[in-house]
Amino acid sequence: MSSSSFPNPVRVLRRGERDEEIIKALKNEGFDINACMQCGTCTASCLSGRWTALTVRKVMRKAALGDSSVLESSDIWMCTTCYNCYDRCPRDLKVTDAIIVLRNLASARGFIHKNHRKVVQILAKTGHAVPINDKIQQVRKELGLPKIPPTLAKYPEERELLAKTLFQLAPEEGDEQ
Amino acid sequence: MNTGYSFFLGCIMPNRYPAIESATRFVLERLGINVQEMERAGCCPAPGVFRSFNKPDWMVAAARNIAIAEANGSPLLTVCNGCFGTLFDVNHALKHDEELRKKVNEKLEKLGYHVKADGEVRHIAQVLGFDIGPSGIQQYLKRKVKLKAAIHYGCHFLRPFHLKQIDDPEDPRILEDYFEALGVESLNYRGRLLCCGAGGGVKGAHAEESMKMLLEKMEGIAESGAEAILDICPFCHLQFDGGQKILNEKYGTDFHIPVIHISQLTAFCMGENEIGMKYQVIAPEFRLEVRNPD
Repeated sequence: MSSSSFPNPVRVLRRGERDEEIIKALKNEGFDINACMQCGTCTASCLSGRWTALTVRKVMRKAALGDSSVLESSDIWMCTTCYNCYDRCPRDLKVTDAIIVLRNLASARGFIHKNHRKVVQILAKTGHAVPINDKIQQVRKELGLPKIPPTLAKYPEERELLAKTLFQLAPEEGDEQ
Repeated sequence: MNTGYSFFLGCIMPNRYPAIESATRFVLERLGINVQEMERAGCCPAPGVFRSFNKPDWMVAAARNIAIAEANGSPLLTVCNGCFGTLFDVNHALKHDEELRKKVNEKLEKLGYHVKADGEVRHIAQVLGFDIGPSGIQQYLKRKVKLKAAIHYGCHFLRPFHLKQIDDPEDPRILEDYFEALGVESLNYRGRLLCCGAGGGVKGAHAEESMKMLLEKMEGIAESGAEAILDICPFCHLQFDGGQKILNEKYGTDFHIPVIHISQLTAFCMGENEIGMKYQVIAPEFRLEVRNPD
């Protein structure tokens, strides 16, 4: 058989070229990358894949091979975590969880979109991913609700403690996209 | 049946769609369900964004919210699929993994909390759709609606199935059965079980892609002749409500389909007139039509 029948051959990485951290992180999460048979049920179930460059099957293949380019591309950030692939995988692989593992690794290396950095800053400042504003306070009053809900919005000290303890992001490293 | 819940507010409901909050409080009061506030609760935190940056920290922040409900001594109630996705899944993981619980508590104790994970996390759609149920709700209704609607489940209410085990995620009935009991004619539309395209941090960082997904969803809904979209999640709600305007501006579509949360529709049927449609982006003039008794 001629090799030309494979226009896009898999690039097998040799020991030393492989990003072992990817393989290890997936294993720690209980994800057996070698169980993936590349059937493509994930890709076929993916709403995002119809509109973006995300091809879940390829992401899984790259991850299994320890190809670190998977962490640098924005593809893994196109997943809406709808869990269709996760529930349909014939090998019962927790595909969405694997994508989260890859995102965690990418984040640890500083590949975080600037808008996502902003959301973390908003959380640190307000205790909410979507904070209250003046207009909504007025609406709340009209509806007979307290202007400010009894959440972290009312407790600045506890907000600060939370912000100091959680979600310390790695410094920017070639801002994702 | 249980007598009370710790009401978890989250972010989008109290801070963008407070009418969903007032409607939920109205419904719970009419049902005789005691509401306990979750003082000092924060963001759930969102399963798409915050879990993606640091899963262990996401678990600690979620466990903190769960611990607040535990201190109240009542199960946690959410009206949002995103919050449900985070709080149910984390509660489940902690409940079944002692090692993990220990690890999470180590960090959580620095924040002044301790989690046992011996309680429950529930979604308002479970409470209305199962606990009360389509026939149980009848005695609380003052009126029914005349409404052809596209029901949107969202994702994290039913999936991952092995954790949630609420209904078949490939062909669920719980919401159809419930809404039909309120008079709704539910439509079987193209893309009925599709995601709204907002989750996973996609709406935040990749707005255009998120809108393309919404467009596919909206085309199916518009085709069906739906007079309204019924949902069970403030984030899907935000995507449908604000998103239709964005689609109309950017893609030349002409969508004006009002979006109604399960709490809003239930409150209306229980006699509440102010369900906050006038505060919404799309079809603020829309008013529900009452069905004449058969």
